[in-house]
Amino acid sequence: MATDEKTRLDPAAVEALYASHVTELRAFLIGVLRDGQLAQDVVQITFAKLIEVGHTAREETLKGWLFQVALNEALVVKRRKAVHQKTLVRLGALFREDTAGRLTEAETAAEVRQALAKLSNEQRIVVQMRIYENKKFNVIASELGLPLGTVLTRMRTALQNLRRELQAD
Amino acid sequence: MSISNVNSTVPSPDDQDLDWQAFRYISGEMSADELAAFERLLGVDQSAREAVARSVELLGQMSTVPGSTVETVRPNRHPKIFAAVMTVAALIVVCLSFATFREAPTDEPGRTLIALWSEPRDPDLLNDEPDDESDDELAAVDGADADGLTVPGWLVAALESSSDDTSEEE
Repeated sequence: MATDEKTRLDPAAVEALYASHVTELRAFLIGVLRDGQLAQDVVQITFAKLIEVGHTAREETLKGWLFQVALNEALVVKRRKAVHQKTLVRLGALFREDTAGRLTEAETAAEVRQALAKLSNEQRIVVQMRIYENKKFNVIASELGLPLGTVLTRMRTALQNLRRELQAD
Repeated sequence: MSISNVNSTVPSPDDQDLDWQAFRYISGEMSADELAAFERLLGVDQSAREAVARSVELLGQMSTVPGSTVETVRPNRHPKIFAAVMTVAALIVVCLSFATFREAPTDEPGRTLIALWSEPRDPDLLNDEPDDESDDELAAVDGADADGLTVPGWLVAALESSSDDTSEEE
């Protein structure tokens, strides 16, 4: 792949890297930038740099190299532009919009419902309030009359359980 | 990428901690110091970057379900107030029960009265049959005739003496 420092990566290699990593890279950038369009811009910049100077990176670290370049670009953009916090559902939707076709929405929704149903009621309430009602943890703690630590523990356990269930599917 | 991610889909405790930090990062729940520290970590740790990506992907899945369709049973929103009200109610019940208990007769006259009341009644007193003898006595006192109304003897005597007195006066 990168046999000579002066030789650029061949288009097929770039295409393969794009196919392998673009979804995860884009998700990462949405997490950093909270903006779908900005994330897409940074993805393009990152792969343009891959074409230009990607041959300087070692093959086994190319994924890390991509994320590193993307993060640097994202932090520059973030400093230049005010990045507004989105609701978590909106953040998820930004990611989903670009991956339409890869996720079959109805099937995914059924799997998510199933995973949510397996949570304890206490965990489900916290998930509902934090993700779907966009309430901060301290507000949730106040409304439920619980210590903040209890709410955080419930959310953390719920997320672990949801990940396990949705990965298993 | 951490070893656990390469060899298994089950995240290690370190990955779970990174996943939690990543979730707090993308949900804007970190303090300024935590945020700066986590972004420094992102600069050097590929597993932290992947944790951010995983959190966004999870939210992507979650966003396919409208929040209004998630079934939850909300508890009382003010459990401390509810607990306080229930405690006060319980105390009132206990106090009332104690007061009632103290009012029960425990002194000797009270006990005697209860004992007397509880004793079996005299069978004669409980007998519903009419008492002929007592009826005769009543009839004798009243001068009553079983066949009809007659003027009692004492009334006749009283009237006679009264008429005697008036005639003497005349």
